[in-house]
Amino acid sequence: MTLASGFQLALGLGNLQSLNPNHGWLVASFVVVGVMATVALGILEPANIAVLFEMKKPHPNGDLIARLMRRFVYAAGITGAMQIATLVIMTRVATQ
Amino acid sequence: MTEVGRHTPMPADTRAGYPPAAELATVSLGLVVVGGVFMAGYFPTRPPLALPIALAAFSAALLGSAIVLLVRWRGFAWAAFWLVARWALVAYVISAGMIEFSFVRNHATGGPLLVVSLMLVLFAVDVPVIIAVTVARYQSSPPV
Repeated sequence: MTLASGFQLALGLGNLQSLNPNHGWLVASFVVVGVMATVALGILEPANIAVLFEMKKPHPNGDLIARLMRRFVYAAGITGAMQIATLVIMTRVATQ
Repeated sequence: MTEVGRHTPMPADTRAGYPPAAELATVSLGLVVVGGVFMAGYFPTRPPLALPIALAAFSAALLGSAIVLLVRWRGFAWAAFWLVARWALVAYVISAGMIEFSFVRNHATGGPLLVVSLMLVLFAVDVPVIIAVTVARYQSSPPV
């Protein structure tokens, strides 16, 4: 949905026209959002909900919760890199 | 106590033969996202459709494989799967519908709209499957 909102805004502002100097940067921003969405929806959100289900049990399995939460550690690097990419893209789009 | 709330049995957690259904569905989701970004990058001009169609077909094949693996998984906790999947499906159908609206509003028609719609259907099924499999994998199934 973030991708759709950004897409809508870019179309409205004319930044998505292929001749616009921001076009490449906006496509790059779509890639960043796509990577973040895939990590969030495919890796982090399922782990979050699985942890919630485990914690609702009378005797939660701590090892399992730790194993699921480890995904967040691995994903933090990707998310951090994507956030830096977001800052670079925002700066470029604002200053072109 | 419901079957979902029962304590996790360790054999289910560490099952060596765990079918990679969630992993396949995640790759399927990734392909749909790549296709969506590719098409969005071309709008408002008409995007070439060969790559998005190939990505959507491969994504559908992966999702189908994941579902086949689940169906063949003996002892899978279907009650937990459906409990999670149905609510996630409601959420992601709404989300996919809003994205579809964005394309329709921007005059996407014909082939591109059809391909985007197919990708959104895959997206709306992929995410609930990934979430529900991840949850159900660690739940005990009722004795057969």
